[in-house]
Amino acid sequence: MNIMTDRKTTAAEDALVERFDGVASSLPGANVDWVRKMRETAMAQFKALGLPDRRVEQWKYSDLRAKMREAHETRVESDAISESDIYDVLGVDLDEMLSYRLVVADGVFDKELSNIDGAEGKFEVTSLAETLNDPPAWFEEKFGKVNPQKNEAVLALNTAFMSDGVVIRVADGAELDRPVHLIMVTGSTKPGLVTTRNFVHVGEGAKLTLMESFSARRTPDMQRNCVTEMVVGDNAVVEHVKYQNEGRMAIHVASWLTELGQGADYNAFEFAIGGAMARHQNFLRFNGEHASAALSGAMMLWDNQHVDATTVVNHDAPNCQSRELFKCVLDDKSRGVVQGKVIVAKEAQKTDGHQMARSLMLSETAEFDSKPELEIYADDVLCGHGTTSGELDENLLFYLMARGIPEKKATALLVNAFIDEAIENVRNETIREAFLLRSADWLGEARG
Amino acid sequence: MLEIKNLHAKVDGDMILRGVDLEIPQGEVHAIMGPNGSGKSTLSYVLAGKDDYEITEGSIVWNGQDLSELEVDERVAAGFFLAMQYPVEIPGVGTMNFLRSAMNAVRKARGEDELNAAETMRIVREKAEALNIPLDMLKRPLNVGFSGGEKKRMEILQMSLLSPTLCVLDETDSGLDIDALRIVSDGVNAMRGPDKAILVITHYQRLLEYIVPDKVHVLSKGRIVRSGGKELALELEKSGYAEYGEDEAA
Amino acid sequence: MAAVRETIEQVKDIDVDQYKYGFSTDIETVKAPKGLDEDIIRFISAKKDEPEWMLEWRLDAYERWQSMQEPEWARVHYPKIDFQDLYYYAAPKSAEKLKSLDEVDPELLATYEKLGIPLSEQKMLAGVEGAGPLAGAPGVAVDAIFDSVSVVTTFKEELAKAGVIFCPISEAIKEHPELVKKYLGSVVPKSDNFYSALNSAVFSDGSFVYIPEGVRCPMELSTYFRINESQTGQFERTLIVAEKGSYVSYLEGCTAPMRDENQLHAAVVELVALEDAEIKYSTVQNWYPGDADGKGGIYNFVTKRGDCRGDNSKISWTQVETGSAITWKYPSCILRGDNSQGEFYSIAISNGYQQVDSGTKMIHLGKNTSSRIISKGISAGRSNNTYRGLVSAHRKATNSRNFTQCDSLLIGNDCGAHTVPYIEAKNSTASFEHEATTSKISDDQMFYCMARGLNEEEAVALIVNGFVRDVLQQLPMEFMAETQKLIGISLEGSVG
Repeated sequence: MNIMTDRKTTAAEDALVERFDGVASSLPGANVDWVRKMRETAMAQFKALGLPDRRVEQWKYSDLRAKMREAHETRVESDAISESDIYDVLGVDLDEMLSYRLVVADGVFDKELSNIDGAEGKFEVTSLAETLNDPPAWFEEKFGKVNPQKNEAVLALNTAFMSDGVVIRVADGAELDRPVHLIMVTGSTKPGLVTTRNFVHVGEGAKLTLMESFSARRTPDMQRNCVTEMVVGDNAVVEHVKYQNEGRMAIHVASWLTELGQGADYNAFEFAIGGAMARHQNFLRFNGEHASAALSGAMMLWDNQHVDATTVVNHDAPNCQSRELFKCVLDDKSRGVVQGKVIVAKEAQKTDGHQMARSLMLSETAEFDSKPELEIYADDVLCGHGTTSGELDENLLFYLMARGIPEKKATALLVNAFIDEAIENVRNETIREAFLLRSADWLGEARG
Repeated sequence: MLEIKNLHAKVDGDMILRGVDLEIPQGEVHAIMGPNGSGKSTLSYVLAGKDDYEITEGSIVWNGQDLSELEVDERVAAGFFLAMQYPVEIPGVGTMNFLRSAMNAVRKARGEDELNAAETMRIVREKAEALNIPLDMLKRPLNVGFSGGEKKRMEILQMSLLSPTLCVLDETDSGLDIDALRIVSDGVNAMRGPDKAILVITHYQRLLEYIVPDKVHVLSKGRIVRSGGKELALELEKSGYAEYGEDEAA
Repeated sequence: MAAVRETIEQVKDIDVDQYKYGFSTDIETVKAPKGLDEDIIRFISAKKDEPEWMLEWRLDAYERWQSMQEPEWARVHYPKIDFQDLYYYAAPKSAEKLKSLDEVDPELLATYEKLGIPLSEQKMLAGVEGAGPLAGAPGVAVDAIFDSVSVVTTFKEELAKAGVIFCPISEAIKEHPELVKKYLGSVVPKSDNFYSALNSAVFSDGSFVYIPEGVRCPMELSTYFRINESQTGQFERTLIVAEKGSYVSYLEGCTAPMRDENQLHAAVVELVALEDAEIKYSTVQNWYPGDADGKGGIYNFVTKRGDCRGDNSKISWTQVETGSAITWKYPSCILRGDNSQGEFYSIAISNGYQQVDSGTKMIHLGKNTSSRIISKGISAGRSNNTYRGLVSAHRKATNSRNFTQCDSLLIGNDCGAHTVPYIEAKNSTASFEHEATTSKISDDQMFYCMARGLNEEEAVALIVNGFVRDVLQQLPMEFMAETQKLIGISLEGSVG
């Protein structure tokens, strides 16, 4: 897998290697042996791999190497973000939502803007930077080891450069009365490379809704690499939602590394409307029996946007269920990519796994690529996948117009009927409603 | 007055309508009967303005307005309504949401105020009750999982909600049992009025016992070949369509 | 049910080793020296008495091959092949210059009879009892290829009357150079992939079919491949051209002796369908799969591609894959002509240590093109069975349609079933539907069958035959029953 020896490195790759040498000694945890080694090993791996291009099978449809022409500065001067800015920047109607709010501004955890009053006894939050500088034993044992992936250059880059993020520990049996809203915004007007990492440990039988929101309207061409490691304890119930509304020129790569305990119930959803090139990777592993997971997403793209939803689900334990539903609405010259891989190990009998990817193409120049893979080594399983791609059904449009509904409105109704099926998978009502409203506005914005 | 003159229309390059002439004054109900393949459904789609149904000659004028120039939804705003033979299922679009969108689109075009959710609900409930449409049907996605009879009743409900002045019913009787047929017919008869023109397209005479027409026309090979009073329907019932080119294979 | 009973009987008849075509024929052969270089290519070309342009073509392919890499993306694992440790040409001595069937070595004829392929036209017309999966049916013209050469082609005269050319490709190169020059390599270019380049350099024989304009080929055409010699690769090349408005149905079958070594089979098949033409290509692949411990067996690395070059043309691939240690093949359709159609129907059964990586590519280039893929994979024993398929619609392929259904069945818990579909839509009016399922034979189905008196193996054979039915129906009638038997045999020992 030594790719970089076979080819010329790009300016971005060279810059990343160089930047690391410059900042390594000042990154959090630089004085902690294992942290420093972890970063160095990751950097060595990145040097060997380079940025993934289309020759890397998992990146076949999303050539990051070609898209990432240059690497921005890793440290950006931060303009202060005010309390009132936050929800404006997000562009989604959630300011009324009662939540525990965690704000990571320009890649740095901002205690002032965060508010977790009432968390006592339920969960603890620390900044990743602090934790790396003085890591407790439990953290050292788990960190960087949740559902590890081989040869993933963007994960290696994240480990090498991670500047901050949050560490959340939800106590056993704790039931959070409101969602934890992790807001990643940038206030800077200069382009930057923001690398964050979150670590979430959900205790046995605990209940958590975690929403990660991304927005970078002030810095349209920012580059973001963020990772969330999450351990879901036995019988815990977790809803993990993402709202991606990056700037028009942004490159956004996010990876969720998740492991589920026995009887866990995990519901993940991504709503993606932003970014020039965005990829969300969901790596999920079943470690205990009788757990279930639903991974779903809604992508609404226009202009030249390229958005990729990639999932890899490892069924390592028997009697588990996974469901996937991804929907893309594609206008203009946008490109949607949905890749899903379900791997059923020999021991994972009675696995029930299904994937579905659907695209709705509103323009002749849009493109949809899908690769739903099954890799199965157990015989007593029920697995399936489906993909459909097509344009708006003329008959439906005619029917609506024959009832007096103008074409624009009829199209919007059908687009929303299509995409809302995915959004309905969000369990938290406030978030779901906010997304439904956002999706209803989308066509009007896209079509100007 | 609906005036259809020398209407020629093509579907997929085949000429299906070959010079239809038809006049329906306001206040009257006319029926078009004819064998399979005579162009009945084509006529209804051409009137509604469906894509792929290309008018090559002739005109469709309703109360002085040329409908053929209008988009599908604009015809509805002009008072036209087609109750379809095969209403489509639209997963994901809630029936109530759809009805409100349609009603408000028409109201807006007529310069009336839009209805809020509560007002819509009140009006819809009232009309639905008359058509024996249970409320849970209104909660489901549009037409999804509806039986044939339920779909037809939903068509009539929409017709009464949109208050059209020119109604075309395409094979509304197909797939209905006698009770459903009576309910649907009552709904249509309630629409009759001095400013309305109604065109009933059907293969069988049965429906015309419930919706009694002022005139009956026979469509054959894309043209109206005979017109008469309601007794013409009975005659056709007896003699069949043999002389009008009923295609055995059709 | 009759077929099921036959399957069961067949299974009972099988000895410990179920491969019934595993004998070898002791026959005097002419071989090229081991290894591959320009001289070997010149040797092959000279043996075939080829014109200069053909030699040039081969040498060009060889040069390209040398700079190419073996593909590694398929889910198959095998030790690196030493391409210098193979014989690239072997021919029965007696078969070198044949004028008629009467001159064929009786030993060879006996071999084919044993395989169930009678090569005497009288016998074929009469139909032969106990004929194998590929022959015995009356009125099928056969081209029999033994190691590197075509030993006999039947019914040539009969076909010539209809204007159909059906002959060894070595003969076509000499007799119909204008056709060969025009079409050879036009669907699968020399440097398309590692194995097609190798084939282009060293192919020794294969079948050539030409159906003139407006002709419906009066009989099924069939080629029967037999690898006999050890350490010998078989590299055949098939080219079928269907002119405007013509139709042909073609069937190929293959077997090899049981040997401890792995033998390489790297064929190239090119189909060209012009305007309104239709080609139906069926394969029953029964190469030696290796023994119960995974020793020996054929490496089947094959490039098959059809070009729907004319409007309204149609190419249909049907394959039943039961043999080979490793299968690497993706019969594909390039839907270039407007309204053209491509079809792929496949049954791939793997047992023992077999590895299958097979599927198709449907490339939609023309308007209103449609394709259909039905793939049924059955994995048993310690085998791995992968479906890999690409469906793509290019910018100009308006209103293209694809339907893909790809089902896998697992029997036992040491095997794997994998699905790797690529779906690429670059046109909004393209409508693609893809469905895949993986399951085992349900306990309820087994219980039901057994409660009706079938034993376990019978029940499995019955259910599997039901599972593959959609595809079986695509095979020419004559071969359906035989194929059903083959399925039973291939799964022998997979339960209990």
